[in-house]
Amino acid sequence: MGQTDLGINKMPRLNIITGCVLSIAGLVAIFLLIPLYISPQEVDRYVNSPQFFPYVSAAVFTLLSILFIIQNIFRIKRLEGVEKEESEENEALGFGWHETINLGIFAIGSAAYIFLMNIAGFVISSILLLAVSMYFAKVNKLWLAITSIAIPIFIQQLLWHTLAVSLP
Amino acid sequence: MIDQLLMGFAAILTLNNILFIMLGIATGILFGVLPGVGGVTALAMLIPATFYLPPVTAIAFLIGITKGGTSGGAIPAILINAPGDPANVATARDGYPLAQKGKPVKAMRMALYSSVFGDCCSDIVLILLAAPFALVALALTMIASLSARNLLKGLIATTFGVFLSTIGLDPANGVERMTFGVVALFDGISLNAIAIGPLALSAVVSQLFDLWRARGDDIKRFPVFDRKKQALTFSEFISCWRTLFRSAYLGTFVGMLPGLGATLAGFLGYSLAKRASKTPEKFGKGHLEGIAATEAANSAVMGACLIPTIALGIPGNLAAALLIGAFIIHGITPGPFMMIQHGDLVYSMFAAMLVANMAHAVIGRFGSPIWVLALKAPMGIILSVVIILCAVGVYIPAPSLFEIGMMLAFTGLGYIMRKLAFSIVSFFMGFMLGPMLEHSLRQTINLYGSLSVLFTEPIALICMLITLYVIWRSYMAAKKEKHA
Repeated sequence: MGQTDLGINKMPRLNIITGCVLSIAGLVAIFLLIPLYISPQEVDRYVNSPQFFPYVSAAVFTLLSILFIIQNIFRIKRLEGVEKEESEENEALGFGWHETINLGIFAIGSAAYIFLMNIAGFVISSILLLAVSMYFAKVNKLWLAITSIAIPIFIQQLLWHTLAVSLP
Repeated sequence: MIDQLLMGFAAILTLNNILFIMLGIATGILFGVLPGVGGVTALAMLIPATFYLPPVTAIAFLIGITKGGTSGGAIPAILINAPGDPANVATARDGYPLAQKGKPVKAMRMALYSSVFGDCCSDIVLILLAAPFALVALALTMIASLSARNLLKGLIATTFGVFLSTIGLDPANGVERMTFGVVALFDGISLNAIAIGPLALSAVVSQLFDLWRARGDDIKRFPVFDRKKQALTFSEFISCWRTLFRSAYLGTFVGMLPGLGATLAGFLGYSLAKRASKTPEKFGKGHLEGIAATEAANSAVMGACLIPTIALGIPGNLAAALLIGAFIIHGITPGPFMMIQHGDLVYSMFAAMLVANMAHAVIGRFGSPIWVLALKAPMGIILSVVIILCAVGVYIPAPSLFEIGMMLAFTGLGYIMRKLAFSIVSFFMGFMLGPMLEHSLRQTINLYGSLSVLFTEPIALICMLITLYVIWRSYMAAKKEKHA
């Protein structure tokens, strides 16, 4: 498939790193995000405070992340890395260089799409997005040209004439 | 109940509604046919488009999509041995060999009629069983433990979804919570962005990158066949009646339990049929019973999974979770009071489901050349177009670039979750059920003073014990699997 498949034995190590990142995120939420961005209110019971439920969910999240780290440390120690993990849709698991690059490309592409849509509108930005993604997917050049121009114009006209929705 | 159902039929049997049901079925099959895209993508993408429709028509259209999606995935499984959905994997075991024997249309018809049969059975059970009752914590735990192989990963994803659901104005006192002053976040993170980004678009993006890195072409080779040998006789279909009923019953039972899903039902249906058969050696070699067993079982999940959705407001699977999103968009809150407050709409939905089953058989039967044609289209084009449709889908109900940006950000998150095997379904359900959980928690503590009531009141105690049992069972199952 051309994807990074870290192999089953390496999954617990990746899980530990993931658990650490999640634990830090949880702590950031508890000590920075919630106190700074939710103002505490005078309430009869603390359960009615706007901070209460975010604190509860962030604390449970952090606790579970720490348990997740511990679970995977034990797996490595007991050499239980052979346990098979599967994604919901049977995708290859793992997060290596390929996935990091994919994510980077996606982030840049998304930012460019939003930026272009803001300045040039839906049709032009979508033509470019379609052309680039079809080029990546190795679509025949003639099909690429026809589809990338026709589809955005068709969608824009369809939405305008059926739902009176004006795209940017 | 009969009277209400008849009124439901009266509401649904208008030309407009029937056309929308048919359009939904055709869309569901078309998306279901495309491997890796699936009916759920169509559902996520098109929910915002129903914003402009009356609630009955909107629900009828979405029901049509879910029905169409159930059988669409069987077509690529039969023709090119590439199931459109994991639920159709077992269909390929007999469908593909039968197609190789020159009978692909016969296999597709068997899959379609079995799917409609299973769906009908579970719809009848749904209509008979939907009754009010509520257990949120139990449902969350079950969803987390059953939809993810690793309980902790499932729970982490669920809790993350719950945490994100707290963003926006506090429901009790209107205080801003983590909105960073962004007005678009006052109503919380958009349900459409969360539904379309991680559930639909991240799968599409992942496949696009696979196509980019893949070597070689993706030319699909279709089996050659003789038109005269394609007829599926009534006696051939009815000879599988035991299998059809067994699978429909099994799929209905699986569908009633939140989080189990159509894939499990499909495999269970297939293996039970093989075990019960007098000729098990024929399975895997193009046996019609194998197709019937899988398709009746995986389609029966759809109707039954709406039982906890309507009765408890707890989605039985992903499609049901998306339907809850659609209900909310149309001002209907699923849950114990839905039958009382919106009984007319619920019975219209039941009527729509029964009408959709009939329409499904007709559209599926006569539209097969179109579905095959769709399957021949290059995946690169389809996936790229789906990206644009997702962006449009999220823009229609809330015309703002911020919404598209949110959807793209959650797509990135969904991609990471997919690669690290964190359950996106659990995450989405946590987000959906978070506000209900917060409300229940506040209500419980305000009424009883503390959470100790969970261990002192009999019903609450039973729920907590079941929750603990589910956690223990999940842990033991994982341990057993390790040692197997």
